[in-house]
Amino acid sequence: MNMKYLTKFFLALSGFGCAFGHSPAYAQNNDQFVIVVHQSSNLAQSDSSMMASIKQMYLKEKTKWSNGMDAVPFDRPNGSPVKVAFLQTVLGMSETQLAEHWISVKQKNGTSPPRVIPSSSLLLKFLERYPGSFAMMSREEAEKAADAVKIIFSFS
Amino acid sequence: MHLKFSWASNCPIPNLKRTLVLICGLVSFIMGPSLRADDLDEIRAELKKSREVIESLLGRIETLEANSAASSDASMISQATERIDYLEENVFEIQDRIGNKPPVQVFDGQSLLLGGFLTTQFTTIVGEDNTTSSFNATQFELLIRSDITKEISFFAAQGFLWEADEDFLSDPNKPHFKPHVLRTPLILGSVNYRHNDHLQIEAGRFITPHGIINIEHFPPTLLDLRQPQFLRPFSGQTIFPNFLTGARVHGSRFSENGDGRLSYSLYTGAHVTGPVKEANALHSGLRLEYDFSSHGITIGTNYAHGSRSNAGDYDLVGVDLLYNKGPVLWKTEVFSSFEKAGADDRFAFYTQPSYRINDKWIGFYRFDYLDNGVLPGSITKEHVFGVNFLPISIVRLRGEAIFRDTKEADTLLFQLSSTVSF
Repeated sequence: MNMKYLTKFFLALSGFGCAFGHSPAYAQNNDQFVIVVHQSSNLAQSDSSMMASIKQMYLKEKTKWSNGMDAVPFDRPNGSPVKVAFLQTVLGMSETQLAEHWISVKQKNGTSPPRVIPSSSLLLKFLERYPGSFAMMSREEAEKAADAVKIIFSFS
Repeated sequence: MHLKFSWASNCPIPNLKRTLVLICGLVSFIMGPSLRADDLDEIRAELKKSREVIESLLGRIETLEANSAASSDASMISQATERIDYLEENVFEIQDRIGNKPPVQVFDGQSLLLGGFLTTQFTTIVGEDNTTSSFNATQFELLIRSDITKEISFFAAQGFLWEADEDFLSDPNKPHFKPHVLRTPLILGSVNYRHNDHLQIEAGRFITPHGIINIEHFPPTLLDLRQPQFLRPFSGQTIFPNFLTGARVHGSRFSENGDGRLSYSLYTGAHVTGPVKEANALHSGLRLEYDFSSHGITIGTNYAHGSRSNAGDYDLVGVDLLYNKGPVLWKTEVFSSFEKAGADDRFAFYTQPSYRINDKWIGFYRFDYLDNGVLPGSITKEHVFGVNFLPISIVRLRGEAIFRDTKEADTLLFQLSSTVSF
C-alpha cells in the first residue's frame, strides 16, 4: 500500500479515537466551579462516575442518587459563567442542544427542566430544604458557604 | 516633665503612648540636671515635632479604621440590597403573572403543567399531470402533566387537527388533497408509576415504543414534519401501530462508570383507532436500547407480534441506530415484518443524516424506502432534502423538497411548515 495513504489512514484512525475519547474533568482543586449538595447530605465525595451521574440527573434521565435518594437538580441562569462552564464541560452540549432536549422530553412525558435559582443565598435555602438536591456554583460562593454546603464535584 | 495627649481617651495604640511618656520621663530624669537651657529648648522642639508626627499618624490610623468600618458596612448593605432587589423582583413576577386572580390549582395532585404546540403546513404537489397547493394541515396539541404523588404522574396530549391528506393512489398521475377534516384524537393519555429508575409501569394510551422517530413523535422536535413512510398515516399501523392503548413496563439501568444506559420497554395493547378486528387483537412487543452516552451512539432492537385486519398476524423485527454528537445527528431505522396468512412481508428502511450548521440552522437529507406489502410491487422511495431554521428554540421553521418515486408515477413535493411550542 502507498505510504501516503497508510499515513492518512492512521491519522484518520487516531482522529476518530480522539473524537470518541473523553477526558474526565472532575475533582480538580483549581477548578473554578463546583457541584454542591447540602452539608447534612450523606452523599459521597466525587468519584470517576460522578460527572456522568450529574449529567444524567440534571437531564432528568436518572432520578435517584446511587444511595437511593431522590435527585433534585437546581439550575442557574443561562449565560451565567457557571452555567456556560457546566454546559461545556459536564453536559458537552450547546445551549440550543439543551433547549432541544427539554422540548423533546416535555413532548414525550411532560418532564420540565430544573428550576432556575439566580441568587446563591436563595440557592442555599433550597439545598437545605430538599434532601438530595444539588446545584452548580462558583468555588468562591461554595467556600463562603462552607458551613452549609459540601462540594462533591468540581469542573472548569 | 509631663506630656499631655489630646487623643489620650481613645488612643488606638495605648502601648505607644505609654512608651513615649516613659521615654520622655526617663530622658528628662537622667539628663535634666546636666542639660543647658539651649539643649533643653532643642529637646522640647524635637519632642514637639515628634508629638506632631505621632498625632498625624494616629489621625491617619483613625481615618483608616473609620474607612474600613464603613467599607464593611457598605458590603453588608450591598448584599442586603441585592437580596431585597431579588425578593422585589420575585414579588413583582408573581404579581404580574397572577394579579388579583386565583392561580390554577390541581384538584388532587402536587403539580399541574400545561404546554402545547401549533403547527401549520403548506404543501405544493407537482404530479406528472397536475400541480396543486394547499395549507393542508393545522395542528394544535395541548399537553397536560400532573404529578399526583412523588411516584405517580399523569400525562396527556389532546389533538385538534385540521388536515387534508395527500392522495397519491386514486390517480397516481394526478395527485391531489382530500377535503379538510377536523380530527380531535386523544393522542396520549396515561398514568405512570415510577418504582425507581429500573422499573416503571405505564397504563393508558401511549406511543408504541419502537424505533427513534416514532418515540420522538412530536412536531416541535421533528426535522421533517412528514415522518418516514412506515409511520404514515398518523395513528396507522403500516408496519406497527403508532399508538396503543394498554400497559407497558419500562425502565433504565445505568452502567457503573456512568458511561452507558440500558433501557427496556415491554408492552401489550390494542390498536383502538383501527377497525373492529384490530381493536379485538392484542399487539405485544419488546424494545431494548443501549446508549453509549459519551460516544453519542444509541442502538435499539425491536420485536413485536400482533394482528392486522387486512393481513392477519405478523411478527416484526427492527434495528435502529442513532448518532448524536457535536454537529451531527444521524438516524437510521430498519424494520421487517413476517406476515402470516399468506400476505406479503413488509419492509421499511430510512437513513436521515443531518448537520447543525450553527445554533439556528440545520440541514438534512433522508432516503426513505417502504415496501408495504399490500400491493404487488408497492414500493415507494423518497428522497427528502430540507433545512430547519430555529429563530428561537421553541420556534421551528422548515423547508423541504421531496422526490417521491413509485412504480406508477414520480411526484415532487415542496413543503413549508412552522411549529411553535410552549
